[in-house]
Amino acid sequence: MSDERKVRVLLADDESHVRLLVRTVVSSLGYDVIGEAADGRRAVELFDSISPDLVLLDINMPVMDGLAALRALREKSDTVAIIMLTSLASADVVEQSLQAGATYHLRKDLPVAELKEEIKEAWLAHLQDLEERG
Amino acid sequence: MRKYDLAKMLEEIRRDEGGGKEPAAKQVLTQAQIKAMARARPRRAAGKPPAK
Repeated sequence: MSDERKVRVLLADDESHVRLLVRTVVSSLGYDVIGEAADGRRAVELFDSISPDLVLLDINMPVMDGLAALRALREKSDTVAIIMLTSLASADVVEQSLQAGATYHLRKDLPVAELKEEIKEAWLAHLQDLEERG
Repeated sequence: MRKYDLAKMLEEIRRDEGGGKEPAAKQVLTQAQIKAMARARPRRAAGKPPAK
């Protein structure tokens, strides 16, 4: 991917204040939030029309939860980065999301600076992984 | 009017659903533990969907 092109982000969380927080963090990294959804189904629908590079998916959402949305997105793309967001990162949910193909799993209660660093690090690791996979 | 303790009722329902056992405490991971799990998992091969 060209360095000049902004990372295009789809953000899905049912809580508007969390979307605002994550949008602010992601924008401060220079990434471009090109779509937002308040439930998993809408996120999957939006994915087809906006083709993001990175999806930030909340686990607990109405209509379709984050794990179901993750599986649906992985059916569509093996290369998009998908970072799961959760308030309480229970070991079984983290395990399930990583097994289902999540790029990374992030606690929403991290300090903003750490949240920013973790998202950046996960994105760069994803790019490296894509390069190694060819 | 009769008052119900909804929290207590919910707790009893959960206990009934769990076969009368106290619910097991879920292990909550720190971000460092999550990172370690993510790094430890096997890498996916190109073009292959994740294992179901």
